[in-house]
Amino acid sequence: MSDFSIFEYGLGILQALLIIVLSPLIVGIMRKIKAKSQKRIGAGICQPYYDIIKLLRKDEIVSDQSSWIFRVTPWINFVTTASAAFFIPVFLIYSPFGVVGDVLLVVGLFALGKFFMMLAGLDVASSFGGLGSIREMMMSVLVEPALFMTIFVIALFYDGTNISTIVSSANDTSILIVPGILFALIAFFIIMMAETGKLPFDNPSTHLELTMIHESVVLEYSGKNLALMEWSHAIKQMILFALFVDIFFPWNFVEQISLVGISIGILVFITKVSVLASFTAFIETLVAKWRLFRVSDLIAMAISSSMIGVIFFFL
Amino acid sequence: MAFVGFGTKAGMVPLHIWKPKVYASAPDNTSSLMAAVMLKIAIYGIVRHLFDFNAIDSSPDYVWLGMGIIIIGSISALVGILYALVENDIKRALAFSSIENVGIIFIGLGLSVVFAAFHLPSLSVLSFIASMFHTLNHSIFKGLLFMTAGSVHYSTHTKNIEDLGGLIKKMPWTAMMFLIGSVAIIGLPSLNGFISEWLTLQSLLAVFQIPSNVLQVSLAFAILAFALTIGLAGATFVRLFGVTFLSKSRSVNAANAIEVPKFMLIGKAILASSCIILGILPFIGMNLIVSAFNLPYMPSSPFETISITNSDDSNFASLMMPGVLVILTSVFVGVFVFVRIIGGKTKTMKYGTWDCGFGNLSEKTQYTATSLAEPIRRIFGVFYKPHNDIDADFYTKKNLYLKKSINVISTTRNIFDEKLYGKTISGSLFVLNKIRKIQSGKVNAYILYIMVTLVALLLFVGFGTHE
Repeated sequence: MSDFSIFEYGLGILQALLIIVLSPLIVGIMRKIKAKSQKRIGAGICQPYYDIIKLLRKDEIVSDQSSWIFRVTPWINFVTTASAAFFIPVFLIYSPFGVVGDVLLVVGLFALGKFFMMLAGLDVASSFGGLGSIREMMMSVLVEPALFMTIFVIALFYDGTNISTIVSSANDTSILIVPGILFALIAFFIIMMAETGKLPFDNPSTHLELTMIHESVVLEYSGKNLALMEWSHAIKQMILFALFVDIFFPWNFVEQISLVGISIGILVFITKVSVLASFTAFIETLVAKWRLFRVSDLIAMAISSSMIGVIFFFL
Repeated sequence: MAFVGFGTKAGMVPLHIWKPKVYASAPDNTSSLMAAVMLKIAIYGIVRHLFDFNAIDSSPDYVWLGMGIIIIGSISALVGILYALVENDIKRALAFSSIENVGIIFIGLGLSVVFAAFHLPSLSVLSFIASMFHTLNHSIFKGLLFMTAGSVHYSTHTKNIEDLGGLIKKMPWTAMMFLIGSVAIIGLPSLNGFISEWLTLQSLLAVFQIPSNVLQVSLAFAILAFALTIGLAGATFVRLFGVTFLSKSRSVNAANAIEVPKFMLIGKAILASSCIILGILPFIGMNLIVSAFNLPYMPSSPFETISITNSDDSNFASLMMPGVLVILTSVFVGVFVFVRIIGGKTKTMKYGTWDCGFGNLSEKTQYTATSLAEPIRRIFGVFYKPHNDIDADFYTKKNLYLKKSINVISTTRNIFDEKLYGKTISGSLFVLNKIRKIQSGKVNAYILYIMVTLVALLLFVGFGTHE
């Protein structure tokens, strides 16, 4: 356990801020690519920023049925998600805050945000909220084991659940010769799609009660609260993308800390994440929303895939 | 034998069916005490038996004993929480969740035995601490939850969550306490449940050090069960808290509820604050465990980092809750200032929930406790055998689209009650009825029985001595 200088902690904070600040950009890029591949022009890639700023300045309406749970949820959701960003390496190979918590803590922080989000859905006494909550509940029940199994595979191969340890040992080994990791990759990709509400699981761009999951939970929110909810959703997506590229594509981290090195590192990171985001957006245009009860099959696939990964490790 | 006895007391599956019934019908304060203290006596008994009366060595017996405990633990955890999820009686649901927690404790204990049998003392201690810490935590938050459930019962006179709702406005403090208990029990970060579940998971992740492939792969299934349990526990407590305390009141009793007296709150406040303290400074609890069991570890300062290192000294995993708290607070302050600067001052208006323009959102349009459990009931149908009786009443027989009324009776069944115990009871009744036939009441028949027994015994003894 090495001690870090204040400068390195500063870099750690910079990494977290990058994730928080860049997350709406990735959302914008994904929307643009989806629009392009559907032969629409689409809004500019900075549109999510304008949305957030506009929403922050708006007055809000709160349901008279709701309690304080409804009002604190956006804050809790944002704080937990944004705090999780502190543990993710971006351009450095480690995060100085890695000692504080590991990947299980990140999962726990997400779960805390989600717990309050589900409660807020129930709080407004409308059936939309309840509908969103139970679907979210069902998904999280199913995704949780898949996620833990994937973490298990990764922890086995890369000696630890500490994210810095994982990333540095991933950097030392080539993933292409390790079949178990490839299965973990498949599982993690499915989980990522489920957790960020992507198409076979959830269609975030509709307001149709048959398909929506995330949207119906945030339906009653407006103004500042809605901005926080949307932004934290974007951050969560960004964190999962960053984890994905850190673990499975651990190339080109900054070794010598210099201004040029860091800027190149940041550019490389943005490129990696954008490529992943474009790929995800492209997949989204190819598939249709699945029936809610068929979603469990897809997650079962993720679970069995990571199980195969475990067996590969032990063989 | 001792394991079966104490296990029944602790409520392991399949010897668990007494538990929800007793916990639900006991007075509120007693059930809190039963879950918090009495259950732990059973665990204490098992621990004493496992580690004091036997010196665990590397014989395969102990490996299988440990594996048996893990398997029973995983099944208890999963089954307990699955039934807690569909239960509408708040105290019965909490009792089922006790079964789940006992399962988690058993997983830790079993791992400890397995590691000890393979001569991995530090891992054995790790999983033992995990299990004992979960025991300590469970007594705190389960006591808290039973007490709050008792308060709800006290002021609304019902334990059925279908009749509750909206209590967060009527009983804000009780709701707060129940929320803390729920967050703790489902193992979310910053409260104590997270620490013990984290430790248990870490000891499960350490199975790669066991030199046996079969055990490693089978323990991977234990992780699967454990992860599923955590997910289901989250859903259970969202449902319990959401239906009991949030949205509109579903009955007159719930609408007229008032907050319980201050003295009833103080006890809960103590437990709730210990949840928070143990969650942020877990070493306070761990030092207690280390000194209570004379483990070969030095007590550490409460601000220490929990860390597990690899053989090459790299960090396997570490957790520092005070640090997490610092990050959470600073992020909160940061974003609060940011929102204030960018957003400026805005007004907040209160208005009705969006009702699609139909008006009259009543308490009947919101999700009920049963409907909240519906998707889970469908996916895990094997355990519940859900059954819907739909009874529709039509205006005319010609047009089956216009219905006068629809009556749906949705039932779930407990397969353990029905299949295992039902079959056992009916089976033994069948055998006993057959046996009754030989009791005819005739004296000469009885003399014949005595004669036959005597001859059989003589033959048995005779053959025995020939050897």
